[in-house]
Amino acid sequence: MLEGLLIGGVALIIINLVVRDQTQFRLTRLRTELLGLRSEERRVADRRDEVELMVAQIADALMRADRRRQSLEKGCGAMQAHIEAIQAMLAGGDEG
Amino acid sequence: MIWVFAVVVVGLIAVLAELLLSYQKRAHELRLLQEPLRRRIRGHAKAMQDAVGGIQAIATEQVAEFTTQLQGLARRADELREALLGLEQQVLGDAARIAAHDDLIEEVDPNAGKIDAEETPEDSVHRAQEYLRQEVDGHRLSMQRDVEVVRRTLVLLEAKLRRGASTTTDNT
Repeated sequence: MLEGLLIGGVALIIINLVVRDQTQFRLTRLRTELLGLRSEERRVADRRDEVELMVAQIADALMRADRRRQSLEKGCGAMQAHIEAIQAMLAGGDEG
Repeated sequence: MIWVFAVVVVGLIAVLAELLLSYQKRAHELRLLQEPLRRRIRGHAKAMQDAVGGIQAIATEQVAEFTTQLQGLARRADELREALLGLEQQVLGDAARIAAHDDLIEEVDPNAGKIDAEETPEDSVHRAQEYLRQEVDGHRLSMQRDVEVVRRTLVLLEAKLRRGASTTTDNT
């Protein structure tokens, strides 16, 4: 009986040590994972900011391009009118 | 003696149970802390996908549309430039003829050309050239630049997303 308890006690001590080591290893891994997730979250948030800025830049450039297109169309129309006016002026001059 | 050993063994069992429980509790806490971070990462990724998905489709379509329109407008501007060049040559030819004629009649009426303050065809052509440079060529160049900005930013955006996707896959 005494021997049994002795052997059991030693075995329990060994089991305790093994369990402690293994669980500490698992906890360390979980802590590292948590730190990794924190930095990953920061990185993704930064990337999101950059992506949103780029999206805003694209939307802005598209709007600007559309306005320029309208101005260009207007400019071409006005230019056509200028040319017609000059042609009329020249035709009038020739007739005079 | 047996009692002492029995108590020690029971104590060791209690320590083992306590160890397992406390470690499980700590692991649970750590997992709980991870969950909001994972949720936030998923939220960022989804927001990026939504923002990029919408703008990518629109921008690709608009860039193609703008490029076609720009080509058409550039053709029209070139036609206008040709027409203006023709007018300029015509006006300069006329002006040379008039100058030659003025030289002949200068002795009779030296102030003949200065009385009329109205805009001459030369002035009109110069004004039209200026207008063409500022309002047509200027806007055309600006539009080209804007379309190029959109195209380049789209490429950068795609590269950034690809890089981001590969690093996220590596980390998970």
